[in-house]
Amino acid sequence: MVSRGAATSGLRTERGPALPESLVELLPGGVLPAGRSVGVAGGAGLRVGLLASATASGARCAVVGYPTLGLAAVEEQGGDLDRLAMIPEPGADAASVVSVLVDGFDVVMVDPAVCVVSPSRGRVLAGRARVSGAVLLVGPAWPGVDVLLQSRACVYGGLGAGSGRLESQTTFVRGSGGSVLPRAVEWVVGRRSHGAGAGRRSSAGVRAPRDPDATGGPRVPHEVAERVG
Amino acid sequence: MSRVMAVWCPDWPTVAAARHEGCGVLRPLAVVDARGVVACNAAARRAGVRRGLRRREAQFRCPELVVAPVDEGRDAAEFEQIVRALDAAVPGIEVLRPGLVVLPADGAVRYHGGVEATVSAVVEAVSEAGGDCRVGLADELPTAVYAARDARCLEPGRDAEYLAELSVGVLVLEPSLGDPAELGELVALLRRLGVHTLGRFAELPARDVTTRFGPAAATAHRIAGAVPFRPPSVTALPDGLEVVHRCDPPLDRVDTAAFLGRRLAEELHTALAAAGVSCLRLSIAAVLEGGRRIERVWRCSAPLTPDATADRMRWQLEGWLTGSALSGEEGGPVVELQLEPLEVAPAGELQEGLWGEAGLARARVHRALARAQGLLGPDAVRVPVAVGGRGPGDRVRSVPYGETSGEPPLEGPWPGALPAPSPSVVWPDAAYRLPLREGADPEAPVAAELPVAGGVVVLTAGGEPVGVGLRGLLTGRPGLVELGGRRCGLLGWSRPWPVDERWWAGQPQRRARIQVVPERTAALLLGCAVGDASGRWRVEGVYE
Repeated sequence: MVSRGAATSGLRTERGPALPESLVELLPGGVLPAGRSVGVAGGAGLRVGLLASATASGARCAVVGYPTLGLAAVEEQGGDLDRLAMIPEPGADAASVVSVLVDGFDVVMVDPAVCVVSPSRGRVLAGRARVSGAVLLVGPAWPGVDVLLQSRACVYGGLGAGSGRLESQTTFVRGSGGSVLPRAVEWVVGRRSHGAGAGRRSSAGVRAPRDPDATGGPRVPHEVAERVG
Repeated sequence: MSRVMAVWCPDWPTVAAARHEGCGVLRPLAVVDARGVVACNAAARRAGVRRGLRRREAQFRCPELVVAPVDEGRDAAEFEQIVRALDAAVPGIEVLRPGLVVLPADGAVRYHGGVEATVSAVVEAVSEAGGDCRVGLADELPTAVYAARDARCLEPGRDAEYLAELSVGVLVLEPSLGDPAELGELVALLRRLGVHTLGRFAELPARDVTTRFGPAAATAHRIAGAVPFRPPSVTALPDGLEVVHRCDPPLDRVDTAAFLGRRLAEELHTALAAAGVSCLRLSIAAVLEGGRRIERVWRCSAPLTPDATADRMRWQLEGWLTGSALSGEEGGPVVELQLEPLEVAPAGELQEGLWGEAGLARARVHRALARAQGLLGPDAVRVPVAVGGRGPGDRVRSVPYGETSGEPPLEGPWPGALPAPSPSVVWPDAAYRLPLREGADPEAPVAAELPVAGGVVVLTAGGEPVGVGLRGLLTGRPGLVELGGRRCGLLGWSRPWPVDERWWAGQPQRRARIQVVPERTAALLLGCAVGDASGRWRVEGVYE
């Protein structure tokens, strides 16, 4: 029987869904820790990135709440939509839905706006996640968060005053809590056109029109990107 | 040749539900799941209730209808009494599903001294246990199951003759002989091809049926031709497949039984997978506290999955535990459980996934989503489907889990599509709040959270509204954006992307999109109708 490949191969000691490429330094092993609760604070971009990298690495993810999540962005960043399920309106007892999903999925993302749990219920859910090896991605106020990932405001590249278009979105993400070294890394989505450092390239430039003139896009040639934001 | 007798209790789920709810069988009753009526009894059928109706429609047709939820555990637990009564009358009982039992007929017929006597013994045993049944007798198991629906006892060697007259539609009637959804497609296809009876279907060459319609149809073809039902490749039983578990303390509660059943099922399937076989017939035996041993045999058309095994085990234990609590005869907590595969086939293509675990993960996901659908209704659980489009909100749609999207994804080049990166929030709703920082520094604390669902106003530095002219250009030079009553300066903005869509469908949409980067908050994707110079823009996405 072939299984537990990651554990026995000796290459990776931690098991769990992968993190986006430029965030691997944040958490031990470069993965979301299986069976733990990970708080995600800040903009939706970080959640999109986490879903994209987790589904791309083969993990099955469920999203409870977040009806406005940008799924096109998940696909664009290399995510596999076939491994994603959504329950945008989980009803009054969202915690029981979460506990059902924890049994079947590798990652369950919970919207704090639709699911508020008491500390005791949170402990029960965390216990179930630990047993089944699922990662709970929750809001920062969730009781008993093991690791907290915090993204700060974005810096945008490529867009000038009436010229260019949004080409890159740079976010600073900081990890904290537990065995995590508190540090921040820079995370770039899109074509990186400024600065240096390990940036994640979007895999989906394919839908971008090649010729802006033909498609009614911005007619001004792209300027050298400037930092705005 | 050994003959097979099938004992079928019509509408068993409704009978079990009626017993469970304590209402008589004469009251109209329907068993429903989230999708609609799954089974209904004769009284309900007289009132116009049919399988597949929505619950509301069924209650409209028959207001006094008693509605019970689907519960296979309840069905199996109630059926246990029937099985027990039958077991006393005829030997060698195998349960196909709650409500349907088969047994080798030869011994029973010899013992009771004739077919008539056997049938009456069976019917009497079932009715003493409070059930109603029909008995069929044939050479092959599926034929016997269909014959039981007609209450027919066939002469030896007359299977094919009997089946030839039946409509191909009977293939979908019995879920324990094949997947109804798959067979439903096959039946529809056969009807379109002009094959209306099983006899005509059986005349088709087996090889052609297999190559054209796949393995499910091949099985159906064997059924229609009354050839021996078991796959001919039933292999010898490898040693060491039994799973034995001693319960200490003795098992007396249904929930612990269910938990244990799951574990044992996994153990059994690990052993089966290691031997490279899958199980078609399973014996579940329990040793009670007094030393008594009870045993039931479950038979399946498709190889048992770990889930199916666990379910059967749970049903069986529920039946024994609640049954013993009810009647008090075969009583007592269970001290030992034994699972033993009686008939196995090479696993081959029937193995789940290439590495087992992948298939198991899929099954786990399916179970979790099915349970969530049970809690919230089928439409609440959705899966994304990439359909292609220009705007970020158009590219991915969501469909209810289990349904396929109607239209295939459009590959087109999508001229005018918004380039990557896409916004991480699409069409922010009324609950969404856009954080506005106190200063330009990304570290600055949040000063306000602004609703943007109602749209924003783009203004020039002088306060004039900026819209899109009829030529698709901005009517001014944007300098400010008003977000929920607050004004922010703009650091950057794009030229408008005109979108001229759906003129071919009679609902023309001439719109334009721009990207703006306001100070102190996230970049926005805005859209407005071409020719609208009021300065009001809808927020289509947020790049946060």
